[in-house]
Amino acid sequence: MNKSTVYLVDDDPGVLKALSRLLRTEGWSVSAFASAQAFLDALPQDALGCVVLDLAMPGMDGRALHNELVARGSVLAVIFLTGHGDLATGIAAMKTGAVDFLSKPVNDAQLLAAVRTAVERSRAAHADAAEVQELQQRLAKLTPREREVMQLVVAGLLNKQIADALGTVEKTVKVHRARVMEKMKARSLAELVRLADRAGRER
Amino acid sequence: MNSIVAFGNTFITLTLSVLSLALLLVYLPPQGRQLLRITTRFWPAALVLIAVSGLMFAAAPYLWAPLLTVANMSNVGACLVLALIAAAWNGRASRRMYASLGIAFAVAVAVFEFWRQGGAATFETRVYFVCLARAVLTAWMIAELRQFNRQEQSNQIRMLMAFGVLYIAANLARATATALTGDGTAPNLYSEGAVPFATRIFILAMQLFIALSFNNYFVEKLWRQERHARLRHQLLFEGSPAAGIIWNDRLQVTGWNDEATRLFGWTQAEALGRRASELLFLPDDQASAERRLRALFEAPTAKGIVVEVHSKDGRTIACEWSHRPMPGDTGRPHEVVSMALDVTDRLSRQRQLEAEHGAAIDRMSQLADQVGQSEHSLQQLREHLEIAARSVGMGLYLRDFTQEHLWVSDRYREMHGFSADEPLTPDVTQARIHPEDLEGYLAAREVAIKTGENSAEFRIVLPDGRVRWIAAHGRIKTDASGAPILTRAVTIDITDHKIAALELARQQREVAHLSRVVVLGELSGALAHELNQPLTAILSNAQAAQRFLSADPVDLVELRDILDDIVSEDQRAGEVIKRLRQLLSTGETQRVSLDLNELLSDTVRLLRSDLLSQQVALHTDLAPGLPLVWADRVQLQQVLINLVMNACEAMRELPAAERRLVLRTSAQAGGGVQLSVVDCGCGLPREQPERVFESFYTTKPGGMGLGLSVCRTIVQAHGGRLWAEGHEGPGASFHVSLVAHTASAS
Repeated sequence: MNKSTVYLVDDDPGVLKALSRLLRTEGWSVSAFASAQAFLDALPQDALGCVVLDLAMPGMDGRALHNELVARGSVLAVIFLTGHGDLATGIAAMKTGAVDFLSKPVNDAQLLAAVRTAVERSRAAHADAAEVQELQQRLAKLTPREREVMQLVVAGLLNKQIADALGTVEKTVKVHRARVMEKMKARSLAELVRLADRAGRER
Repeated sequence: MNSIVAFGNTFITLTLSVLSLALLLVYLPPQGRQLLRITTRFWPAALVLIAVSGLMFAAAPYLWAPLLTVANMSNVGACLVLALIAAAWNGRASRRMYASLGIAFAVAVAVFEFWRQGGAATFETRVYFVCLARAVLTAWMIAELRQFNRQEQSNQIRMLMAFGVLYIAANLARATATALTGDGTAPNLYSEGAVPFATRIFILAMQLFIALSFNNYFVEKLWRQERHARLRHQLLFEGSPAAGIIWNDRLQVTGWNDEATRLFGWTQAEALGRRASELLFLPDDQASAERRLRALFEAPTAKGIVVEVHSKDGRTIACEWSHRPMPGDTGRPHEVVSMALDVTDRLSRQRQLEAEHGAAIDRMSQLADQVGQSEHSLQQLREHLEIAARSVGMGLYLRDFTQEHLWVSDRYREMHGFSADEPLTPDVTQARIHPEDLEGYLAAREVAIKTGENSAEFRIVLPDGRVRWIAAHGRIKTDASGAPILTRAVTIDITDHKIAALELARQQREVAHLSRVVVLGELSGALAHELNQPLTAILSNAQAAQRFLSADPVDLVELRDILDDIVSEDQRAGEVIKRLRQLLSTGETQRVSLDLNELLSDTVRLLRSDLLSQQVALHTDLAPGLPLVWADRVQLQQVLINLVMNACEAMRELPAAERRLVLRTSAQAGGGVQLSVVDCGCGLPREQPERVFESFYTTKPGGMGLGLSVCRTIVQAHGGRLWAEGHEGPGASFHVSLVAHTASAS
């Protein structure tokens, strides 16, 4: 089951039709666009999948579109197609995070492999993003005091030390700590450390 | 006699009526409309005059008899205006002409009125005067019309001329009848009761109409001519760097630009209307000048003739003239446009140079003659001679055949790289001449022996290998049998000048060549990019089809759709190729006659670094003295580059030591030239060696499969042949054969 979509952007209708046909034979759901602008206009907020982009297009070209996607924080993975395999452009594209850089005419095996990789990467990125979001929601539920306690727990301090640091008694710290574990849905101290680390890094 | 007078009057009346009707029929469609249009300044005058005369003619019998006289005056005036219009159309009317005629008419009216007031004028004299005035003016009009008709050939004009003749006849008849009877009061159109009033009004209206139609016809012509003239001035004259004059078949100037004013001194106002011969030539030369100007009318375009003319202030100006006839409405030239460039300075410089050169030779010859005569002052004379020559940078050469003696000046030794005391013989000096120029030098000397004098330009090679350009002018004295006795020559080093000229020409060639290479290169790049799109579509469609076929059941509808798309994309790719071919075969090509060996050497120079980096050993085997071919340098170079690069690619897999490429040229039996590129690489596809020339056939991983196909197109466009040949061993040969460029082929 492929829930992700492959977006195709190419100004040549013949190429667009042929590539969508090829991708559909593999069971991908394909959305084809004749220009970068049309694609951006139709793009849903939480789009998942990959974009196969023609590098040279009138109006907004492939590179500009890619930059725009990165700026919007999209999780779509990008594969570039180019008429003439220009190495410098390829390297630049890979540096900005493109999954692959293929030259036309493109072989089916190559293209399909690239699309698979790209979709997987997009999904992973999406899952990642979802997890981070979830964690941040959990973090939001903590009271300021609980957050202080969590930071100190994660830093490896003992309850007693925490109590000293916060100017309170150990018993109160224990209560806070239990609430933190519950709100963060952490089953062990190790898990709490991992979750806090992840949420903190993404914040 | 009354009957004759009556006949005369009735004749005038009938002529007017019949012709009015005829003209009405002929002119009404276009001219009827023009009647309502005020086009220029000419027709109101005629209209007013005729209207006034008509009204007065009609009213005089009822009101006051003297009005008839004024009516006659206006009537004659109308004839004058019409004649002037005809003249203006012919381009003859000038302000001077209008003024003089106006004055003459005013004087005539004044004299006549004075005469009448003085009682000397009887009614009969008035009739004579008016009738004769009408007749004379109409005769003038007819003369102008004839001129007009020579260009126009129109029935309307002929009809007007016929009308004019009748009008003259009628007026003369009237005058004659009056003279014979001595009575001008015979019944006529204007006598009371002769014809009904309404008829009289109708006839007058007709008269008005004729005048207007006639007038409008000319007005239209005038207007057109004026517009034409304006355009002509804008195009040719304003801002022209050359002096421009337009003159007509009567040699009168009708156009004169600012530059002509600057050069010849006459202002436009002074020049217009005057004869060109008068303006530009001295009074003594008038007859011959006119003859030559008239001859230009017969001859078509003439260019680059240098003729000396004179300006207003008497200066002599040498001008290079270009003449161009201006076709009139019927295609025959009616004017000539002459453009002149002042070449006085150029000409005088040239003459001065010639004179200087000649004087130097003469002086030297004289001195040299003295050398022969007075042996004792030889050294002195030579010194004298040398000082003279050195001052103008010339070297001297004297050879006495009778005494087998050779003397050259120090400057000559310097120029030719001989030391001051080196003994010289004719063979030694001749050995300095560049081998390629020796033949030309000897030929020039032969001419000098025959004619006594000649000049030559040639290169010399100095001992240190430097090449200098020398211009020499020599005189050779011969005895009765034609054998040379004495040679005297001056030489000048023109290397700097020559190098500059050659460098300039080379740069120009280079720039032209480079720009074309760039254009062609970009063109193929752009086309290759355009080909990628249909090729991508074809490949993806085909691969999609393969996948569909492995599905179960096969979706035949989709499959058919895919195949349709493949076909149409393939056609699109074909279009691109076709365009490329067209560009290469019929596009802008610059065929020149060129030496294949030279082209090959040039190209090898271009490719040298590529060959080095690919470690290919190149051997060239060029047949000397090949006939030239008629070809486009850039395109042929492209073919050659393509073949060489292909050969290099084919040898890529070989060890570096075995990569050998041979370029060979040879003459063919039929007069053609053959070029072969021989490699020892991977060779051709065994079964079908011809396939390599098909579009999109390629064995190279990154290749488009277009190179050889384009090469073949180019060679075929040159009327040649490109084919491939497999070898027994490894490798392949590609041969290009081209037809030789003979003189008749160009």
